[in-house]
Amino acid sequence: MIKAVLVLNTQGKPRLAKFYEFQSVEKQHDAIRNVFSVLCSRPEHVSNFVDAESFFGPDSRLVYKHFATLYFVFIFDSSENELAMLDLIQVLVETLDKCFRNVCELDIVFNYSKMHTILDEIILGGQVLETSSNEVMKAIEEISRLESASKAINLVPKSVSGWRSQ
Amino acid sequence: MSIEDNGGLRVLAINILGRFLSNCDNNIRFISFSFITLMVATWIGQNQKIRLMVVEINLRGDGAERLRERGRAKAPE
Repeated sequence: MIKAVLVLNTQGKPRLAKFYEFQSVEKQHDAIRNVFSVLCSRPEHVSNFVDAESFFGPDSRLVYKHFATLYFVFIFDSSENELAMLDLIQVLVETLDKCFRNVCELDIVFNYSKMHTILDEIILGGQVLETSSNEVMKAIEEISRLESASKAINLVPKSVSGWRSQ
Repeated sequence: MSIEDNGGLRVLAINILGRFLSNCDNNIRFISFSFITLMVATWIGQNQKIRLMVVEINLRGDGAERLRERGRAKAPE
């Protein structure tokens, strides 16, 4: 089970925080601060796996990847495999790269709802749903098409009421 | 680890983990170290071969040392 997904920038500001098991808001903030204090002091040439028991309780491990100005962090328990989680971070980043052209931190800041939609297509309730970025892209396009259709439906009542007033 | 006693599969697993250990990526070496630690605890009979493998890895320098320092993977005595 995946316990949390965090996207932090290199100054420690969280850009995305998704917790799949309940924690109070103060605990969430403490966890994000602890995760960043561990990551920023970690050298480049060691492995990307950290023991996360001190801030996420027993049976917790942490996998991170560092892209440009962002850290992508997954916290999970022993039922998941570390290398599989590393691949899942890659799938998430590939999907973001396909959704936003030349994806950067500003895209995550300004398109947070799309960001959460992408994450929900990959992970739901702490379980991995999809590991193919093409399938996730199809689902995202379908959702965008449905949103456009719902906007078009909103135009019909105005024309109906305009017709009635004639 | 829960597979029943089968000498051929054990040797195959140890060989595959050894190949992972010789990978230069620290992540893959970490995972293989962890599994070798589990195998040592479970299958004592293969200890000699694993000891040679781990000694060889230790001679390569910093990566294996840091893995051991972290305490997640302990080389057999």
